[in-house]
Amino acid sequence: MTSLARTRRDPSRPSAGRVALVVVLAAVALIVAAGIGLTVGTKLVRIDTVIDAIARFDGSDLQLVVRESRIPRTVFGLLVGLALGAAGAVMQGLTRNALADPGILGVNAGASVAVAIAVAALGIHDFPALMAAALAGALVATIGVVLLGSAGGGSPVTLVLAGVALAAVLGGLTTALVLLNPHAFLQMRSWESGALAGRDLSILTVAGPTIAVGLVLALAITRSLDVLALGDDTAAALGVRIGPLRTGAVASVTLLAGTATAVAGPVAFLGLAAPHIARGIVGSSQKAIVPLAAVIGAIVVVLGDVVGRIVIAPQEVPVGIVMAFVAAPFLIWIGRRRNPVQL
Amino acid sequence: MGILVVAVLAAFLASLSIGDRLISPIRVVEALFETQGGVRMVVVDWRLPRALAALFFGAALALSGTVFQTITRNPLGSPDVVGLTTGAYTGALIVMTTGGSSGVAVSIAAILGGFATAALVAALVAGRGALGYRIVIVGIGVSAVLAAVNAWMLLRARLEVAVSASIWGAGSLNGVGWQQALLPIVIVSVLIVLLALSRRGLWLIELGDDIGTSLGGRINLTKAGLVAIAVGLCAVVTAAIGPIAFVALAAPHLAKLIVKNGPLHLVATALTGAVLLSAADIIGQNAIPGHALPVGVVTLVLGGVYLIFLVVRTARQRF
Repeated sequence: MTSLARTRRDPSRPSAGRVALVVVLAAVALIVAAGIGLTVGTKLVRIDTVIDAIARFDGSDLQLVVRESRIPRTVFGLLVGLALGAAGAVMQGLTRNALADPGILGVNAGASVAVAIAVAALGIHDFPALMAAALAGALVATIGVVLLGSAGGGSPVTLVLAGVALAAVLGGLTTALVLLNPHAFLQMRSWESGALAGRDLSILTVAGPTIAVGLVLALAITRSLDVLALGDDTAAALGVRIGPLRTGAVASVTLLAGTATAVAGPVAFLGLAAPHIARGIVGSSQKAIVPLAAVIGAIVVVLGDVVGRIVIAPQEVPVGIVMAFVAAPFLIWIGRRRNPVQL
Repeated sequence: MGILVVAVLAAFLASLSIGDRLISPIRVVEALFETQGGVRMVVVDWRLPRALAALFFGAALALSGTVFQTITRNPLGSPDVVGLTTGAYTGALIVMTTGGSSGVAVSIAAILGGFATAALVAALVAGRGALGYRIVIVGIGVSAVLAAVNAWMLLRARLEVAVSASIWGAGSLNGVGWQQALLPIVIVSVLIVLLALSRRGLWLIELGDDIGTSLGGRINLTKAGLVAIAVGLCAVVTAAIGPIAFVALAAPHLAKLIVKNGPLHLVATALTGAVLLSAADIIGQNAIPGHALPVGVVTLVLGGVYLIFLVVRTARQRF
């Protein structure tokens, strides 16, 4: 009885049973979401057709749809969701700020402006080069926003406002570049609103490993992030080396958000919402939040892509726009809370 | 104050002189009083409406910003940050993408969009305690949802509509002639006069709700009236030339550097806004030879840098 009472009062230490339950449920939900992503669209596809399309490809139209469209979109949806969910959780842990999100703080905008420069000014079109540009842009923006946040005295509100301003500046630069170059306007128009359609599976060889490294890095620092929640000084006294931790967190966010932006365009607010949902389920331990936020992110993106496919069929709503509808209200909800910035 | 008047005149003359063809300021002044001739046509028919629009619209945005900042008691609570301009753009896009091409219909839709967004943000923060930045955070959220709506409408539009709507959406004075400029300038002037008449109300609000009430002000009524004027100013400008970022935010702060407080602060704010928008437009037209950048992009980039500076400085003073 006492242990139950303690669990209730201290949600940061969920019981082992609860963690196991959450892991199982999350895994099941992820599989179900992937199944929906593969089968539901303007054409309903049976799951055995999907399996046949992979194992015994016969060139039929339906199998072609599965191989050329459904599988890539689902795979990239999972990747982008994992990346942004984890990146948001790491940013919130690092900045101890409930409003941190790669979209709100300008990291995605940094990746976007770099891609816009690559497309409009340098005429680059192949994916590895664009992804390199996105990563460089994300890195500069992440470092910039962390520096701005600490230059502003480390206040959480300051960080958010600095990030919003940074995102605005970078967004303005992207707009300028795109407006000056009509060819780039065409190319950027659908990418800018965040879309999973028309991505070839071959880019997985570049994007997959980067996101994997980012995820491993994110999981590796969760323990230190938990200690950091006690404050910089306490964390340092407890043996956490703040400098390397910051570097690791920045590297992880850069890899995750930069790659996700290169694949799907700037998708905002998912990194905000997923960690909050995860926190509501498993409490305040980063060790549990980071992986769960990643899985929730993946589920939400895959399902969001399905919604975008069917809501105005035969036309499509890009997943980035669906995400803004689903996840931006979280910002409004957080803003209405008693103390908006506390985790 | 004198500096500001000189700056406004300089910006005005500069925007009449600089262009594809440079005309000396003296020649410009002469041309203003001529009745015919090529130079007169360039100066009076082509450049004058644009120059006046920049001055009046800049002043309107700045005043709108100062009213919002006073009422929200937050230096960042300006109409562009809390999503009014995005909402006005949404209104305009609804008309543009459903085939409405008349300027009047687009303008009315933009103004309605601005008012609807203001009402939405006000409803969402109502009764949640007067935490200064709550309105900013909620406003950014509302703005983001509306931006998604806008992006979606742009994607569904035909390419020509999308390109012209995007250019309008960046906020541009390109192609503003007498026909486009005259009516909004008149409306904005009326609103500015109304604001000047109700400046006592603004002063009462600045003193705080309690003192204001004890001095005999009906605070809520005053607030509602002022907000209506401020939303009107911002929405009319957005309807005319598209969303212009950060002028409303920055002008009141910059004006404080010159005139601290009192009724003259409003004048200084209006003049600062006028100078900012004119200067930004001159930069946009000439920064990249051969390309005219929309003025909204210039204010977005310069204003964003200023906002970063402001945020960092304010935080440093507080901690």
